[in-house]
Amino acid sequence: MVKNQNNDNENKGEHMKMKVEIHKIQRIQYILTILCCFLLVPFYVKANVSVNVNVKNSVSLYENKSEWQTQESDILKLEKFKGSYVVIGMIYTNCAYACPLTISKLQEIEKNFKIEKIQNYKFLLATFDTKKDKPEHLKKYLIEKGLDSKIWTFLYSAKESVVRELSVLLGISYQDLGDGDFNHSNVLTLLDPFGHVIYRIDNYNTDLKQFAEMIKKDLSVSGNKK
Amino acid sequence: MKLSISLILFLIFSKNIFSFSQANSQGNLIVIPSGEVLASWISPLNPKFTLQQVSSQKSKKDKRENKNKNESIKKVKVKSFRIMPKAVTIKEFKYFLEKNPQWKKENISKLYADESYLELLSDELKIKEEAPMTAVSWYAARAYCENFGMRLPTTLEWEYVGAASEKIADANKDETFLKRILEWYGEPRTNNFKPVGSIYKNLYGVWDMHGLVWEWVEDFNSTFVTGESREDSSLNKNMFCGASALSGADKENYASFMRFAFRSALKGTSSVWNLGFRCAKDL
Repeated sequence: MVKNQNNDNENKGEHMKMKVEIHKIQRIQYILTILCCFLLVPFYVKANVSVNVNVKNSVSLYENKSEWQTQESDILKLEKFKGSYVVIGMIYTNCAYACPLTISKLQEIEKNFKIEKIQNYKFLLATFDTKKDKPEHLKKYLIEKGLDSKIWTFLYSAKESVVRELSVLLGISYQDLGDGDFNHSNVLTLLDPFGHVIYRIDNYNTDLKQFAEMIKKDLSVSGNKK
Repeated sequence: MKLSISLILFLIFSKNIFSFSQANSQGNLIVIPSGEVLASWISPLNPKFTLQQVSSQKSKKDKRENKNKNESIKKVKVKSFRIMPKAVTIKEFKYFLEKNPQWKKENISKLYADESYLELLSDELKIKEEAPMTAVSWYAARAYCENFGMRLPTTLEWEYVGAASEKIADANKDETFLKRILEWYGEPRTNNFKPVGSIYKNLYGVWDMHGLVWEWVEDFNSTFVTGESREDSSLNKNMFCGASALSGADKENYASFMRFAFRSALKGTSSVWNLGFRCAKDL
């Protein structure tokens, strides 16, 4: 009797050992499957993120939410111009030398756009002059120069800090000389319909056809409207 | 009676405590009196001249300068304003980040800061809290100042305060002073910044304008320092619209030239390990 009990106990012991072993193995299997799932996760995550081809790795100027007034005295933020290719620069109307040059360079670019059949574009010009270039004045200037207000928009802000911020965003150096004149660098920046910078010139002694070329390039990789 | 006195005392002290808890950013601004300075302070080099051309044309310039002595040296007025006595500290900026988490490194957009943004706040570096806050972009420095109803000083204002030594308001001709500044500029990099308020206090009571860190100004992109360029005239006509040049004097002040060169190389997103800031305020 005692012997049997011992056997039983031994059997039980072995049974227990086997159970423990099985549990151990099951636990290991369990852990392994979970680990494998983690290995697969990166693939899933990647797939979800990179669907929209138009989302470039660069930032959009339209993240900036400063307010501007147009020549029609409409108050807006730069993001209002989403959806078109935009060439943006800065001028002031009292400028005798380079600013008329800016306008004529943009007109050259426009001519080239027409040749290349690019229609979805806008020109934005913000003024350095917070004192003189108020909206009414900008409107006069636009009419004087015979510019199409559907394409050209002049931007005014009464706040020097807003103007300074835009100049920094666009990489334009400028200095208020205090007598109504401004020293400034000549920079034109091309934005895609999402506000990403896709081209930029910092002097006018350059091939302006590149603007159309960069738009064509962008059109071929994205599905944007021409 | 006793109660009202103690109440008044309490209010006075609590105001101090309150401003202290805002980490000293709003209180204790120093009033800088108005004055007049040479225009070359904000435009040390005419964009038409590089350093090389300046030395070779010195004789021509001297003749011209003697002819139009009064015309070539323009002066600019500086209106009285207030400025922080010390640069913004790490402790102060950390407080700002707690209240404005959109400026934390993980939340900031690449439009407003580069990869080095806040790099000196990493725990491994163990930089003291009273050290000047650096590796902040221009946008972040501005946001800090705006948060306390202040702004960044302009180049003119900063140079005006920076011109003062311990004893005189305009030490730009004082060779010993200029020598000290150049020695500071020559020191090698170290992550162990001395705390603010440790280098020197100038005539106005403003600390460490030189010798601690470079400092942001509101209009850092307002100077034109061209690099080596031999075909100067055509390059400049196309690159810059320069109706007039506020420059002429003080090319001997190499230290100021270094500051201008440094500033003109910056972008708004630049977060440099030894570039900090302090705030200013209109009267």
